[in-house]
Amino acid sequence: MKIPCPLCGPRDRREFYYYGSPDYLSPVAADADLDALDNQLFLRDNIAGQVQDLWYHEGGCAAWLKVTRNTISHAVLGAELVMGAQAAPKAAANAAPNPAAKPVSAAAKPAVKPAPRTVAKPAAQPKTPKKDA
Amino acid sequence: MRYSGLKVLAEGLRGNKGWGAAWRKPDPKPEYDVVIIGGGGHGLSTAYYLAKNHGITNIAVLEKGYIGSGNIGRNTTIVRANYYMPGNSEFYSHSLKLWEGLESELNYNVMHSQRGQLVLCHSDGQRDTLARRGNAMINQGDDAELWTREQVREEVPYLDFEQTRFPIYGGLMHWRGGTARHDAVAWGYARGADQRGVDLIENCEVTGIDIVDGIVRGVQTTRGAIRAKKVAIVVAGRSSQVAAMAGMRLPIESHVLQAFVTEGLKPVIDHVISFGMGHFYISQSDKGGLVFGGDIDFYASYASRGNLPMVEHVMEAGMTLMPMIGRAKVLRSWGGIMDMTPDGSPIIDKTPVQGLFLDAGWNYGGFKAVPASGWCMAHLMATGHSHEVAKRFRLDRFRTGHTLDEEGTGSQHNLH
Repeated sequence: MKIPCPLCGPRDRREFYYYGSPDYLSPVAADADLDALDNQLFLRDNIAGQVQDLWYHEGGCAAWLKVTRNTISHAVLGAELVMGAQAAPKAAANAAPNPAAKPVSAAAKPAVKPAPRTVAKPAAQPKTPKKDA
Repeated sequence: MRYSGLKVLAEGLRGNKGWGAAWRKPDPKPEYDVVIIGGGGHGLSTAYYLAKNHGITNIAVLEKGYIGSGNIGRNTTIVRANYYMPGNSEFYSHSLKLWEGLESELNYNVMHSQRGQLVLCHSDGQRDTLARRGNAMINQGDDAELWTREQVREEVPYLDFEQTRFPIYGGLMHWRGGTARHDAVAWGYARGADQRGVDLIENCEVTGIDIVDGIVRGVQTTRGAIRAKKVAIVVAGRSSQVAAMAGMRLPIESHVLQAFVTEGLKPVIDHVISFGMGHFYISQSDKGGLVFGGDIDFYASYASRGNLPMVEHVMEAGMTLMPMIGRAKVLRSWGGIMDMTPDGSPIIDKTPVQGLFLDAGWNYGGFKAVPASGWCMAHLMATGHSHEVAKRFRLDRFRTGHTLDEEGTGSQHNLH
């Protein structure tokens, strides 16, 4: 089972810590009524089929991921960063874009042009002899 | 038909022509007093004790596959009463007493073998917790012995006492713990319930639960509609799917637990041994295979099979504990669907729907609970009140804060 970390690429399942349902992402206030707390902390849809769940890339970049998986076939269909998913709704809520705001995606121009890297071609490797089966 | 040694002899002389089917295969009637959804260990024992203890026999047990195809046929067969928390302690103690009379009760050989279960410890702190657990067991009226390293070595010399990563400090021996043949438990309860008039309906999947004005009326199935005054959901890992038919969300997350069996070996492991550090447990069946397992895979799953990381982890734990098994060939591995709760303890309770009952949330410890779960569920359904030893297994205990966190690992479904 490989989890496609958006930052690290597909990594072995062993690198990740499984938390549980995305219900955990919608925190309710500590003084919310018991039903709301019960729903968020304990009650689960627990679907047989396509689900999303929260995985933490403990053995890698330490990002929290929302993974789309199938709980019957174990197929891993995709993953997104929890942080990115939570930032997106805030940006959409701003109806009129602030002209003073710098666009996030604009790359800063480097002051000094970096020196070109030269990479030496590795020497030809001898072919590894075939091992007996 | 009553099984006995005399019958075996007589039938042997008659060419074994007189044996009948262990249970009937009736068609479902349009209505019953009680419908039990799920023909696994707990569903069958519930039906049996409803009939035996409460005289309620107009029951249908609806099993979507064949009797024994669920977790009752997949577990690692451990039977024990070494729980610590009030709420759990008395329940499993009651269950073990039922196990001890089960073969006479069911007139069926379930091969209950009280060979002793030894839990090892690997630090001073862990030894302290075993002492506390042992005292709780003794207070409950069950047996427990706290063993030193030397005492463990004398009884179980083949463990690796040289390894320093998880040194063996000692263990807690529970002599009345042991194993039983899981298939036979299903068959014994099935036959017993059938003999008392319960209809076992196999290959009958429930597809809907009929509720009118908050009262259960019956179920829809692949073999037709069935009306019932009382309906019980006893389907382990599929509890959320069935409860959803009643519009309910449960505090359950379904996970895969893998189990393994090796080729048959000469008797070499005489007890049930539980590793205190790697969550590994092993025993040897009467057929000679080593039966063992470890943790769940830790991600939600309905696949009934797991993945290689946990296979590796279980094998590592086994090799760390008893390197002598290294040459044994693993014949089979499989998985089941575990209904994990936020505190690792089960639910035997009414639901908000009148007449609809729930027995679920056994995590991966349901096999030892089969007798008491059925006993208590039958009591609840027949009388309307929780049995004394199961009264804390409430469905709403997470909401009200009365959790039974036996492992002490906190409120996360996959940590128990």
